[in-house]
Amino acid sequence: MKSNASLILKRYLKSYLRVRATKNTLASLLSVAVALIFFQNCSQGFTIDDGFLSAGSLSGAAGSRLQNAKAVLKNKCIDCHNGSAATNFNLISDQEFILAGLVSPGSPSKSKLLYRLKNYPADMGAPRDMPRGSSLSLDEYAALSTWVENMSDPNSTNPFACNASEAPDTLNAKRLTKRELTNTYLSIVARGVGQETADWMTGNYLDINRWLPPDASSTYSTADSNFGALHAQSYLAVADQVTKFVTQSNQINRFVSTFIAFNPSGCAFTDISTMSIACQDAFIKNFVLRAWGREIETTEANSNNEFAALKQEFSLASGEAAVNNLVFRVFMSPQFYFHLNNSVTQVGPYYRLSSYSIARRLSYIFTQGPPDENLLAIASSQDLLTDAGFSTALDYLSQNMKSGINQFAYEWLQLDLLPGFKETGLQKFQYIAGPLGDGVDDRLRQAMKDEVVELVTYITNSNQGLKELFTTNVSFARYPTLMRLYNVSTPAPANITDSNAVRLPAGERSGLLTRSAIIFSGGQTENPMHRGVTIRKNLLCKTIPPPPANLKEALVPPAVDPNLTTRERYTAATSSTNCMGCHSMINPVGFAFSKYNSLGGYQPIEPIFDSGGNFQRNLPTDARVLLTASIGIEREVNDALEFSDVVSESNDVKSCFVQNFSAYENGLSSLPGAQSSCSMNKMYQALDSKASLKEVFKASVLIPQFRYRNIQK
Amino acid sequence: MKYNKVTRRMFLQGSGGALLAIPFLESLLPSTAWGQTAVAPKRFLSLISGLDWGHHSNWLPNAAGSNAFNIPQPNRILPGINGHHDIRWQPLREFAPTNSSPLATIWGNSLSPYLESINILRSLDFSERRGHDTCRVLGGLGFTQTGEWTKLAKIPTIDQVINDKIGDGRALIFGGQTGNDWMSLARDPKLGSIRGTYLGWWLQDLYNGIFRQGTYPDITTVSAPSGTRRDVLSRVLGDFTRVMNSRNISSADRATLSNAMDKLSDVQRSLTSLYANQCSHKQLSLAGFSTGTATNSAAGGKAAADLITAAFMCDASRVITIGTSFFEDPYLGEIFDHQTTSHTPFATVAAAGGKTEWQIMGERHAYLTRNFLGPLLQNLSSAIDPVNGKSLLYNSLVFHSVESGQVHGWGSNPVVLMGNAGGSLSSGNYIDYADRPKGAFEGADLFNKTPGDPQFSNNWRGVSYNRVLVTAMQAMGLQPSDYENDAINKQFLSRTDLGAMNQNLTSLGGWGYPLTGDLPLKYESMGDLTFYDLKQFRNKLPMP
Repeated sequence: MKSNASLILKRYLKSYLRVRATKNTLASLLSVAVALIFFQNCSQGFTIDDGFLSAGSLSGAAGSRLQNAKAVLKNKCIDCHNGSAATNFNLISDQEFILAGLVSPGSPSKSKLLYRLKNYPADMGAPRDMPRGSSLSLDEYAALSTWVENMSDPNSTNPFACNASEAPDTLNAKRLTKRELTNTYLSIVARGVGQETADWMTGNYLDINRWLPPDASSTYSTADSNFGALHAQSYLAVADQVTKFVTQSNQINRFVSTFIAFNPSGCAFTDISTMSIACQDAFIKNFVLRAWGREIETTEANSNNEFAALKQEFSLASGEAAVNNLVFRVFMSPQFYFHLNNSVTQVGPYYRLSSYSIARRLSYIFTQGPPDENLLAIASSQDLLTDAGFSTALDYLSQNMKSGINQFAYEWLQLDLLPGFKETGLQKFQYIAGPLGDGVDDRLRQAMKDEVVELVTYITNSNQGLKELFTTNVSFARYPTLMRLYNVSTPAPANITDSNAVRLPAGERSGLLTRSAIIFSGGQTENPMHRGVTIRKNLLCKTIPPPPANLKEALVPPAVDPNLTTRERYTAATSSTNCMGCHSMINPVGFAFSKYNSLGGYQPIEPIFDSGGNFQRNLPTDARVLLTASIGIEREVNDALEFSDVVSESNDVKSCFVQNFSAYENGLSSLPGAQSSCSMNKMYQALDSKASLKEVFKASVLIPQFRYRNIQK
Repeated sequence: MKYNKVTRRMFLQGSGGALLAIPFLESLLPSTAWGQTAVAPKRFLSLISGLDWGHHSNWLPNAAGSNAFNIPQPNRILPGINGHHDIRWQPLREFAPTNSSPLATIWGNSLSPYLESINILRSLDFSERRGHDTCRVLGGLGFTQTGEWTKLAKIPTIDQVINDKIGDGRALIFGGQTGNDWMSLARDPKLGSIRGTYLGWWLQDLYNGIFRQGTYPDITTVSAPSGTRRDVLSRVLGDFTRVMNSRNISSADRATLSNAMDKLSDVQRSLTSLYANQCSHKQLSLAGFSTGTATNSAAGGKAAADLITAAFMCDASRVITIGTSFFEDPYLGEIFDHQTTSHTPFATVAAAGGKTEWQIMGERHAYLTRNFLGPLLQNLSSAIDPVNGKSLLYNSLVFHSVESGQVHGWGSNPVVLMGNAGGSLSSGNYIDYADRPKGAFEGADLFNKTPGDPQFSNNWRGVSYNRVLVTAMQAMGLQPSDYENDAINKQFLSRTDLGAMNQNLTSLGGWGYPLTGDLPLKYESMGDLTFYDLKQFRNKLPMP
């Protein structure tokens, strides 16, 4: 991160010259220098341009970046790489550098011009011996790296631009989601009294998740910023009960001593009734670090000496009562249940988050909970503002992406809206449900939901990409009824790997879209219109307006006809000109799934019943569709498997996926459009280069702005 | 500049001391300052049955012994003003002079001790064929309906509207299977409501849902003395203030935290007021909460009444919707089926000695009154809210009705209002809104009983049932802007088939609008509107 570090170093030097150097300044300067030295030897392979911090020289104009880079090339390279050399660097535009194979837009690690430099931090298998006969300064290297990093591929379909001067997010205070707050409490309890006791608490004493109000949003739970009376009441009740639990007489010593032990700082704890000042202080600092995810402020530097305020509890009471009040107060503090990014330092027009605050932000995105001890240790030992520290933290969190990705998948696919069972008494329902045997009930619905969430998580953690998400034939079915629905006889193993995975029957289903939770309608007859609208909306971000008011029966399923398949009935019902304006877009998507019945079972033939519920005949299903009108791809596909394969390559699917994860990550109340966004630009780049989903999720935070805040006073 | 939020709590704390000498400026107070005046929170409970009450003689105070045609009217006249027709009324106490006097067939003497807090209303007509099926009893349109109804905007029921306004999402629902209950609050997706099953059933689960493990925490069970938690909360509010005064805070942060402070101040107050001191749910008898206890059980009804009272007293809920469809037929020993009872009110039941279905349904309602409604009113009338020194019954409104009018028709749907909604409703009267000069209903009712048929009662045209919904909402403190929706009426503009009536309908303001009924009946329904005074559709009912 030489560009970044060098800029910071320069700023500190200026600061040092402007003001009298204090011990703190010197210490900070030293730490930055150490970070620089560290990163000189670091093998992490990404760089981040924080040019957005200075509105002048790095204002984001591509031309400006090119001029800086060309100045370096002119001074250090063109003496050799001129028209007479093997490679001519005397080029004019980005396009010429790309065509010459010297650079790969947005990717210094794939750019020969960069990885051949002596300064390049990683061994790419090619000599790092440029420039010969001289060297590059940090600034010079940064200019070249920044230029390539921000270069746009002229052939890219990326709808999201990245303006390097893009301001950081405002990161205004927002309360934690229900899941985040629950996880935060459970994390504290588990650390204080052990995981087993925390589990017991949930099962036998206090199920926090049930006490908290649900989140409501038109997009993702993270977008619900409402704080109403019910929140206040619930938060008080939960804070009270958790406090009571961890400070009951048979646990309070363990709870306090465990937190003190994280960093005793001269405390020799023996008993709650005889806590020394050192032990009180250690408990406050260590407990708050884990509850708030950042260090407590101990000075008035930010006009809020939080430590002094909390210490008050030990003067108002003593022993168990003091700890009880302190714990309750921390749980009720705004720093606990709000994302409150006020531990910052002003840098230019913006504010850099503290190392702990960056770790906290990352942690809530990817784990829906506070930093664990390992992440806290990383945040403590390395400055996460540096690329090296940030990379370490991100790599740690991405070792096993689960909780955050689970939640994203659940909400992205709107699994909460999975229909219930209906028409279960009708003959056709019983006809298709009969072979499934027992368990056609809410347990099956839950298994369907669990399966697709696990699918997304599996693809992520096995370093597979969007293509595999839409095409994998790995089964995640363990519930017997779901296994029967999928025609598999072996339950999925607990820890699925490529070698032990159970595979779904060939030709029947593959990928996300063919899983029952996506195509389930709950009744006796599948609803291709619902399938079409839902898949277009969730996977392609293409919405369809509701039927006009004068089409009064538009949402009523067409009447049964003993001679027609479901597809044929819907085709007839929507064939008029009035209908086809929308249905030319809906129908092909829905009809591609014609080989699945209303429960999601595979049906190469469809059982046809008359209006009296009497079986009439079997008719072959037809899932062949032309996709031109519906998703703008000139392809005809034979079934949902081919459809999935096609959409996995679709630019619309990529951008929609990016938009959805961005809305989830940033708590947006509506899906962002194809706008300028460096985060979405990075994610799309990753998808476009067929990176794994894990790398895509990581890309969302690989922008310098992520570690800053734009405070609007 | 320092941010110094003058919270309601801070103002009141300060006003007790140093501010006494400062001239009081009302403008300094927030409009909803809790200590400004002693305004107690209002509660709303709807109790809707899926079984009809049958003939008026079952529920009208002076109908006992009279035949269907000759039920006398109340003896006093409230002159109409502003063009409203005269209405008739009479104090209920004149029908039941003592607390042990019976009032009517259904009520017996169960309600007699509370007559001063009750209104019995007559001649409230559904302005379409029936309230049946589409939760018209509490207003609204069922979203699952098809056909004609899909043309109209979805309209929330009044329990949803009231809950949005005063309930803070803490609604409590006891649901039955038919009639109104499953389509009113129970279908409001944004609520984290406590859902019970059937009144009197599974009360233990409901109790746990409210007070232990449910969405609604019991803030009165703070483990430390409430004074301690209250004091710590004061310091928490100080923590909020320090954060808001700190350097690295945005204006949006401050707004968010300020809002949270307001809510926490309210919670802090609740730790020391009514709910902490008088919440008596811990005294509820768990013995009466055994699962599987049907409404028929006196113990179950009493336990349900106790639970509701506790939910109100502990402020665990301010809006409760109850559907009571789940009765057991005492003669057949099976659960009543709406279709084969309410739809066949004149059918006789051999096992009941030849009694008709409407008689048997009346008996069940009498049972409900004795075992549940009476105990509930007793609880509510004896619980005093210290905020204003009035009973919970005075501060509440209990809205009791059934899903259809006379013999499953659409005329004169029975309504009983209990409580005074914090003083917004007068009470103690039997009020008949009949507009007899407009005559009785014409044509066939649902069961082909016409005037002159001994089984057809005297359904004189009265006023639109919508108006009692408006009355209830306004009593609960809602303004027309809280529930009127101009867009609902404008949808009629495109209905050329409804003729000139459109122009009148479009000015009614949402809740005042009449429904058009299902498709074959729309002309009949619309035609019937001519019997009503359209300009009164948006107005609450006049009361003595």
